[in-house]
Amino acid sequence: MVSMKVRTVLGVGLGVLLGLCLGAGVGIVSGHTAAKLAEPDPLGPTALPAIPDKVPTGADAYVPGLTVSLISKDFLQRAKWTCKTQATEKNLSLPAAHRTSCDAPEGARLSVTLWHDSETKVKSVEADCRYPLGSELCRTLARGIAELSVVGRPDVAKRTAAWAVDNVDRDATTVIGDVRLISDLSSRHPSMRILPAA
Amino acid sequence: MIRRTLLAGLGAFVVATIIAGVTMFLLRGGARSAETSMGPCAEDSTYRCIPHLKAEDLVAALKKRGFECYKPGGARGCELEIGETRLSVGVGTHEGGISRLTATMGMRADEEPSEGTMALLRWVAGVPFAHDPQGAGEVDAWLTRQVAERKNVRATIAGYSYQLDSQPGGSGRRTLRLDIGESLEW
Repeated sequence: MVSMKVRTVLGVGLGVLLGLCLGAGVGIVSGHTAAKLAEPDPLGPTALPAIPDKVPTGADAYVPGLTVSLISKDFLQRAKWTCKTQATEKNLSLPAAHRTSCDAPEGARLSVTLWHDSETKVKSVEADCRYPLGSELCRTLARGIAELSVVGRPDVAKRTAAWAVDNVDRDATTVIGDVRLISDLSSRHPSMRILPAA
Repeated sequence: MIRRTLLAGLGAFVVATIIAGVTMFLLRGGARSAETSMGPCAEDSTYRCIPHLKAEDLVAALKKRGFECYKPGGARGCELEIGETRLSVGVGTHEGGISRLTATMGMRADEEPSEGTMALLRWVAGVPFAHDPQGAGEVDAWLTRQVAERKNVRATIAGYSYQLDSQPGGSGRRTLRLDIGESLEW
């Protein structure tokens, strides 16, 4: 009788133990799987947003409409300046692939430099005038460059020319139309630069 | 006696299965609702990315627009220089996905960012919210306000961290930088 009771207790105990172990195993695996299945995908974009029109493009890196020959041939060489174009050293990370430098005739201390990637891709125009502040030569050169660099928009060109005349003798910058003008005296003589505006 | 053993075992099995299953389910996070946040860069990846988007596609979109794109180390990036303004977008990538996005704008210190600069900055800021006009609107309003106030700030917007800094760069220049990554706040 006694041994029967012991065997019953042992048997039931063993059953409970086995059941607990198996149940815990099955429970952990199924609970884990259920949680994984229920986990939602994070919400997010399915495609890139379209780039708005106002974001600049590669073409905006150049002075709009300007060509090298408009400055070098039509303006300067007609006034007997001499211009030469050189390819720039690639690994020096210079502003552009080519540089065209123009010098005034007969030892006049005036020069114009264009940085450009091609005939129609002009990155900047700079006019340097090695005469004292207030000289009429510097004013005329700055005015000419500022006016010519704005192509095909006479009203804007009128404003850039007026700004150049007013600011040639001081450090200043402005954006007119889509060009930036910079008047810079840091090299101790008047210098006027025209760049595209972002 | 065998019947009793089986019955006891079966009872214990059922009880243990239910308790272990429910506990595991709750420990793993249970049934959550979907939220805007980063997800795994690829299936079973431990890195986190903006869902669905590919770094390559973002780079290609900017390249098509005329930016110059490059590949330094693990990151990708594109640049465009317009006169004195330097626009640059950086893409941190894991398994092809986008794990980090930065927009770095170099400009004159005494000027506000131009319309074009702001357009690019806003586009980059809106990339994680392209599916969600309301979220995109919130990001846009936040960005516009912070840029105007020239503050260096960090914000958590949905599951993303947005950090905006304006740093002086010498020679009268400054750099405006937006950095988007996963928010580590809970």
